[in-house]
Amino acid sequence: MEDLIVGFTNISIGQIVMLIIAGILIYLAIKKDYEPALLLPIGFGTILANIPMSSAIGEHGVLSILFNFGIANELFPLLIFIAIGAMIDFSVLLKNPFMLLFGAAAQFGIFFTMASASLFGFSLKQAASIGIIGAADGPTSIYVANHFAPDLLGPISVAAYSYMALVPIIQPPVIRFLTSKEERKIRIKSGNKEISQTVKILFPILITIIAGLVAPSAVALVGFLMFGNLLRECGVLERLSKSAQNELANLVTILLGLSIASTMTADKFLQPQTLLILGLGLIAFVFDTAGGVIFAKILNLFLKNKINPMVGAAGISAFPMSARVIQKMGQKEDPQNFLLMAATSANVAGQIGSVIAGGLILALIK
Amino acid sequence: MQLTNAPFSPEALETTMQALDVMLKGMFGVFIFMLVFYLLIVALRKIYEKKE
Repeated sequence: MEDLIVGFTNISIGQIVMLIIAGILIYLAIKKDYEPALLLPIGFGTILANIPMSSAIGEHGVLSILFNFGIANELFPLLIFIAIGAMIDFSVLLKNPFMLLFGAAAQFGIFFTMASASLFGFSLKQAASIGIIGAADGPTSIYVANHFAPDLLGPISVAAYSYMALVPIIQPPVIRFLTSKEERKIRIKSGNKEISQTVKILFPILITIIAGLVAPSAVALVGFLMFGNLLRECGVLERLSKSAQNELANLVTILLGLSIASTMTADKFLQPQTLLILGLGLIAFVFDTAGGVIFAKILNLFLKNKINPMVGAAGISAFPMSARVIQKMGQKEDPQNFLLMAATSANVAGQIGSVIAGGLILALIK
Repeated sequence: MQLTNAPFSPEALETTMQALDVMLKGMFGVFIFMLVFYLLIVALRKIYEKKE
């Protein structure tokens, strides 16, 4: 009889708290639709990891095996990049290449947060892993965090995916604070010149070569993203492109979420630093947004045809939420203002920018 | 999970100075990359606009 209640007698307060956190993650995924594809597997995996004497974790536990197989060697985040690459349509950016600059400016939050985190006592590598939450790009965050600070992977993943889902709540107040009503009404003429198939094929190949030659440590990140895009654009591998967008993305997402959950044990997660990481993650998103908006305002000092500074905020990687937020805010000020095309271009640029920023951090911090 | 330095200590400030250095190089690097990609796109569009 004692064997049947061994789980109840061995459960710790920390494990009970983790089960509650797991419940909250599952609630947010199902009821609030906050990145359900990731938060639900993480939430359920957290339950598996925090049952006393769980057979799911430990040397022979399936979650630990999955973690070692797919996260410790960075395989799963890279496979997700193939899927993301196959989903991205770069045409909109190729029509408006100027928007690439916003994809750079809106990475400011990553570096600002890194500096802030180091002030709070984190080592440079830990601080970089926390800052990369501001990439607004789950796989990049997981990739860099696993590289530099595997202990922080759980809270960093939860923060990254939660704040990505909260972009429609985080960005508008920051944008309103930094822009005037008149600025929010500025209209942008988007390029709509047709892009040839050759350009669409050469773009991912050349980007990989250039990024790889300058920052070899970024080549896996950039290369897998661009390989996925090449599958999409080459025109002869529609079946593989669809598989990458659907089957590969779905399977790896399930495994990625469950694997991350193996790090969500009470002893690792229930630390004062976790709250600090969640707070710093929010700062990263706020300063990403501010970086994009302020950069656009600076550009406007020199440009004849002014840019709506809200578009700068779409330079983060959270696609397509950020572009939709900007479109909605623009139409609120002026129902005839259509910013979606420009904002989507900046948003796609942000996807490239976040990967480049992640690669540069890997290259700059030894 | 342990903090490496005490918050706001001289050691933390030293790490922050290193982080600021990475920040400068990192932001500069991202902008340079994007500028190169911009020029690449403009060149590709120009070359293949005529041929196709």
